[in-house]
Amino acid sequence: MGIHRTALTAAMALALLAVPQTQQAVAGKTAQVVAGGLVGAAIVAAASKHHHHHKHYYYDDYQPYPVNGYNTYWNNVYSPAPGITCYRAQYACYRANGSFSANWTRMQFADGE
Amino acid sequence: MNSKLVVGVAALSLLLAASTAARADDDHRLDEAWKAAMEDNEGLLTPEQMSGLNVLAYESAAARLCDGIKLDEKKYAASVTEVAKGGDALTEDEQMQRLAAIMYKLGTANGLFLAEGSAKKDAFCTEAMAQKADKDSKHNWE
Repeated sequence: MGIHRTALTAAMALALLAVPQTQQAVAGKTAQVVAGGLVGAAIVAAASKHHHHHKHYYYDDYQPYPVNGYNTYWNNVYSPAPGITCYRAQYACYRANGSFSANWTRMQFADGE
Repeated sequence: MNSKLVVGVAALSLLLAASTAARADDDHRLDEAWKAAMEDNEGLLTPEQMSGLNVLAYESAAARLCDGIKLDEKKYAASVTEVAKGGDALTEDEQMQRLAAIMYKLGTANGLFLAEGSAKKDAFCTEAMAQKADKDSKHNWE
């Protein structure tokens, strides 16, 4: 990832999350991207239901779920330890009291299952 | 009230109590909202990156909802950059589109965690504070 894009990514995230001092940093490039319609197109792809991203955006070994197979995929839930529930399609784990667990989420999906 | 009716009312009360307890265990997670947000919206990020994006969205929500938790902006920015890695074979314009989509996902997840955290703020913030206090736990808070 180039330095410019790295900085832009971080700045966009902080601007999105309303950290005011970062907003000016992205104004120039963002204006170009917005003017070109690129942001709009990307948001439509992310916002629309049944709108898949073009395949060349996928990461290398991505395996799409079968057509009409999302419910099965979504309902794939397991418990790696008592009181912990993990949802594969959400890439998230919760405690029995309903609270999201960052540690369990990281352990199950980022550090290797 | 005859004995059969008493037993019936008692049984119904137990069922209702059990049902309430079951809901209480899981009603913190906005199941349908998460599903609506994520269905047909995969493939841009690896499972590791997606879980990382969730954690980042959660960390921001906790910093906004919970007293005593504040984002470490430098660490947070570095983590966002790490989560968004990829797409190197794309053109520059496509890379910008990819980033915009990822930021949209981050914002969506952040909103869902804000909603979940607001619904049960005490439990949400207790979990976040415990994570912050755990020396072995990685996070992007100060």
